[in-house]
Amino acid sequence: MRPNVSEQLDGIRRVLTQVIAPHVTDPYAASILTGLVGALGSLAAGWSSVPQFLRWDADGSAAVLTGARPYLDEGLTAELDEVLDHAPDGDCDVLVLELHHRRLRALLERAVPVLLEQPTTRSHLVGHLRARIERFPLSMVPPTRNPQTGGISADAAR
Amino acid sequence: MNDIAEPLGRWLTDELDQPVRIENLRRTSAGYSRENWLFDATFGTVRLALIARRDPEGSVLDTDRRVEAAVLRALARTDLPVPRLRWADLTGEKVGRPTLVMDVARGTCDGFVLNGDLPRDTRLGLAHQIYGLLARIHLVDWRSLGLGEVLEDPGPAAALRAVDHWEFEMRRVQLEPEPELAVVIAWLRANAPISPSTVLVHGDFKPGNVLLEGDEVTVVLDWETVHLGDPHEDLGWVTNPLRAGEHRIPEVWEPEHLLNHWSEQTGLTLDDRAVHWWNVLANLKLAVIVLTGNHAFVDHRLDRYYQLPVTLYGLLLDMIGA
Repeated sequence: MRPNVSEQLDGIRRVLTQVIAPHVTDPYAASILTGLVGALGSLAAGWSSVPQFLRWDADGSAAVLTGARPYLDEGLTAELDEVLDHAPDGDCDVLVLELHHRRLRALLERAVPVLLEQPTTRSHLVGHLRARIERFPLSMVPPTRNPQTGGISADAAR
Repeated sequence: MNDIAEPLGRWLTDELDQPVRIENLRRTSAGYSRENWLFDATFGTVRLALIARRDPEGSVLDTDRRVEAAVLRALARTDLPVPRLRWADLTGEKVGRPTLVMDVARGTCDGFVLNGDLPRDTRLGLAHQIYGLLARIHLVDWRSLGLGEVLEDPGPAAALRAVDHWEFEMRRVQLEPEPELAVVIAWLRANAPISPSTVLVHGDFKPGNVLLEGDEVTVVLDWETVHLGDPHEDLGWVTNPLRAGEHRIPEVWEPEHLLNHWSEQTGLTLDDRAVHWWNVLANLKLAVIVLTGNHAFVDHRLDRYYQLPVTLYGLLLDMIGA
């Protein structure tokens, strides 16, 4: 499949930068274009890791919740069982995987108050969240100086 | 993109009761939360350089123009340098969405002036001047200005009220679950300080929100997040480690210098623990601002978007000792 997704995103980014951008003189449009070009760069570099990341994060979230099962209320454990019973298989569509991932993250968010009460579950939760930050496949560049406004520019770019 | 020129001309013509010509209208790239339109308005022999700040269809921050207009009008009666508000369309009936029209103030904006090319002594003098203005904002007698009628006083529970507000905003705009922020919010609730007094809080005080002419500050901008609250809130915002590049000058204007200067200027007592708590709140607020922008982007109401602020999540977990 050539050009592959990365090549297509990179190509679009290059065309926007080299062909379109020099002709965009309106300050607002130019500022938006700069941000979009940066975001395309981030997508080109990180998109292929997204499915693997979603699977890892869903499994990690499930492990934290399963380990805390004795402390969770019945409603939450029942929902956890339901989500895990319907976990998508390995070759599922990425949107199906994303939905499964979102359901587990929602259960994790709901469980946070309980998970924080016990040292062990707290440690597992924070450990997973910190590992997730390290693995997150699409990065946001730290705020930098915006030469036009002097304000923070946090446009995604690599 | 430009649907504002004609209605703006009609509006100002109504206000001035004479024909007004709108010229040099252009949207600036500055400001992520409002549409900023610079233009010249000519009527008779008069020509005014004006800026229209209009609510966008989508924003990184949803605020109320009624409050901003009331505060600007009240502060115009003080010696604080604030933008001159000319006209306000609070309902959006004039130009489509709520809009404030102000004079273009003198000066230039450089959000990183404290770490720019000026000599260090000049930058240090600017720092004293800029954060002295923050102290003056906190000393504003908001009650005698009547601001108690438009702004709610959260009293000693200002910190918890702020958590309520930002958690509500997060719930309103989050596109997906945010367990990291739930952990941070739990910490904020468990460690909320008591507010020692209620002051006027700017809400987004920074060098990027003042204009400079030479080494003089001419005006303090962007009052859209102004509210009543704990003075530590603004102090937590300006000493946020994430924003060090904007607010600090290495060695000579570190947070302790800024806070001591503020304390000397206001005569108010500082609580270091409260400053740290508001540092954490400041970063929760930044995270929610990103989520707000992404929500508006997905709804096709905003032209910018950002990747999830996961690095900010890491900083927040560090700050709460998780």
